[in-house]
Amino acid sequence: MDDLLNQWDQSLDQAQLDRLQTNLERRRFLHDSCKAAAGPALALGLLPSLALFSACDKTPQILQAQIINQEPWTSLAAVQQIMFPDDGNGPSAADLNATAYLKFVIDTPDMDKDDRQFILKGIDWLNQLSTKNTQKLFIENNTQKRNELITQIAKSQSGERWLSFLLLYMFEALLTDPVYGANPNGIGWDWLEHKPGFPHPPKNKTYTELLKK
Amino acid sequence: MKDYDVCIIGSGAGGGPVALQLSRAGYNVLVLEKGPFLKRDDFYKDELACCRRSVYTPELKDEHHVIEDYDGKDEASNYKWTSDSTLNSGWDFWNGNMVGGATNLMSGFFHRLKPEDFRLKSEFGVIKDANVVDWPISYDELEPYYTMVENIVGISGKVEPHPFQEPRSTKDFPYPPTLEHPITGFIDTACAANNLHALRTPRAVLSQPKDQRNSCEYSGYCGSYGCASGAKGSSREALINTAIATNNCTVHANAKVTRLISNETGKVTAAEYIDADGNTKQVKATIFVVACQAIETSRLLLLSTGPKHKKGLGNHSDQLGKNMLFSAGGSGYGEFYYNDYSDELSEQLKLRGPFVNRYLQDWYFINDKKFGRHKGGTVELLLRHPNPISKANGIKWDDNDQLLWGSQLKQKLKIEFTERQSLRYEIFCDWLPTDDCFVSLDSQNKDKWGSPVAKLRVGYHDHDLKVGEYIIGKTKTAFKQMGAKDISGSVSGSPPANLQAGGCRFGKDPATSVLDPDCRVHGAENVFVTDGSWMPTGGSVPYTWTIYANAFRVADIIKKQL
Repeated sequence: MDDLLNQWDQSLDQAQLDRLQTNLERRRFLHDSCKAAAGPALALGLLPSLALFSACDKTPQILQAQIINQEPWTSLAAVQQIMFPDDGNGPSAADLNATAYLKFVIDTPDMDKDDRQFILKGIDWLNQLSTKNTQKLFIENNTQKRNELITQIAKSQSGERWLSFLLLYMFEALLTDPVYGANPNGIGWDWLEHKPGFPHPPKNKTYTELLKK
Repeated sequence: MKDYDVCIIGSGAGGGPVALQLSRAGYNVLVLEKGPFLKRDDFYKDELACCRRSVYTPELKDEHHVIEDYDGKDEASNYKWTSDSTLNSGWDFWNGNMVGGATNLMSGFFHRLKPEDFRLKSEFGVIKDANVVDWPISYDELEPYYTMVENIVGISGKVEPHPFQEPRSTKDFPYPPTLEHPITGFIDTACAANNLHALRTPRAVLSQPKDQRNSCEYSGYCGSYGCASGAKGSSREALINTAIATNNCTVHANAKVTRLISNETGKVTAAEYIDADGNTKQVKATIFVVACQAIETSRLLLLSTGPKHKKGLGNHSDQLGKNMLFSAGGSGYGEFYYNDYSDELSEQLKLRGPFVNRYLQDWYFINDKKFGRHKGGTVELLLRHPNPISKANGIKWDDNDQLLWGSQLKQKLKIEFTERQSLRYEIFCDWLPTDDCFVSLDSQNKDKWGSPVAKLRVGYHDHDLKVGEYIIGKTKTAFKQMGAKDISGSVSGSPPANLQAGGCRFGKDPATSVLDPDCRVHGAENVFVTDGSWMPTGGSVPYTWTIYANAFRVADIIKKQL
């Protein structure tokens, strides 16, 4: 494995890696069925309290267009597009406003600090690897080379965990209610033939609003 | 000078019936609830709110538990136990931190216990290392209250004869069954051909409007979600709202009770709580009712030491927190691939909305030539939960546990979401009470208010696994007959965190119980416990109907005492 990747792994001790994994896999199955999933699992400890970007004056599409010209969002958007490409099979990361959604999630003050730092640190490491191997920043490479770099970092424990975080929020962008600005017009639901429940949350009843009660 | 006739701590299945019956009887009732007062118009089908953020449950950094889990045996063959905070593990034991508690989020599968469940030791004998006892009351004493729940909470269903049908004082349920998913055709045909009884699941979901509540809207998102129509028979919708309407019931939300204060006689004089602004307050009442869900009820009583309760309220015999119960059993899936069926049938299988509404109790009592005679359990059938984000996040790995992304990932998502319908089964068996499943106070971890958190040892009895394995085998055979493919199943000794009971078992002898048969704390004549804590054994069904019924029973006892 590349020395840089080794350094990356060694910069986090096993306890930190385990903690990140716990945060990553936390999700509530409390009553997904009558008998909630047994065993250690579950509860995403993220409580964003900033206003939703969908509630701002700007549309998610405009926000998405604006932030992808700013680092680290430019690079994160490029990684997201590798992970969820425009390949003719359903929406791409860009179609889902996935970068703006990720920014919304990790900008929230209640987000786990380790998670936030880890997501942002991953871009630094990716660019270091890219510079070493290609003498270019990640986004200056073509799609094939970007894919190779992603494949390379996935071979490290930390890199795989970083990509897992990005995927988790990609899935949220793909399948959450459009009130949160992602999954515009339910394109993710339509693609996967998913029938959402009703009623849908209005802007004044999103989880950020409910948390104020 | 008392502030209220009755102070109830917790507003879920144990608190709601008492609040309703006593406020209806004209008593001045206060309900203290740790969570917020979310109402019907706060509930939407939002996966982020329900299941991926800490909206309905506390943040673990503020409130957590410590779990002592089995960690093999030492050289002397003694069990070893490893402690870990749920803050580290993410294993969350909170269920519905809001007015109405976990009943807001339940699926509402409602089953009565059987008469034999009240005398398990007499019926099935002693099991080594299991603390099984008969209950101090009989099914006949609880039956009128089961019926009361059917009418007041509103249960939809249809009584159908089967070998283990429990006695009823009424002919049928007050509401007809809720609408059913077409997959029931597969279930009914296969079960009938194999001499099994596919029964309609009684459900605490209204199939017809009742008072201020609408009937079910069949969104297909029920369990884990709050109900937007009011059809689900949560304690809030069915009981607390009605109690408030009497003008005799006050609900203080965001009120965390830290201890019960008792005097030299052992009676409780006040409940101390911290309000939403962080102010510590006390409230005095004639009667106190504790219903915080089993783990937290044991914790609160352990924290409530006093002149006559040196080791915690009602803990004279070191029984408080002991013999915790969960639900044993297991679960699995069978897959129905659309390609195997006609277009018309495929479209029917894809339907989302109506309930599966089928359960089997053919193995509630097992009498098998090879396996022997044992208490068995209930098999509940349901569709895979529809939460899509959770589903997607679970399928991001390939067969070699390598992370997928790009077009490969998208192809897998497309297939997993669109090629089949998944029928799930859940098996509910008795969780045998043992010395290795109990609540104590952790000596190091505290919650955000400075109180020691509950430490829970989660040992199970091997017999539970054997019973679960037996029923899973039978269920898999039934699924095969239905035409399901890729049938899976597993038995687990891990406790499902949403099915809690025990810790304050009731009994006639104060030396072996925490509560008397009226669910009154031994040595504290004005304190009652009405969540599932009183149960010495749990039966082989979800507990909620029995908790509701017993709380109505205790409400009648309190009325006589007031």
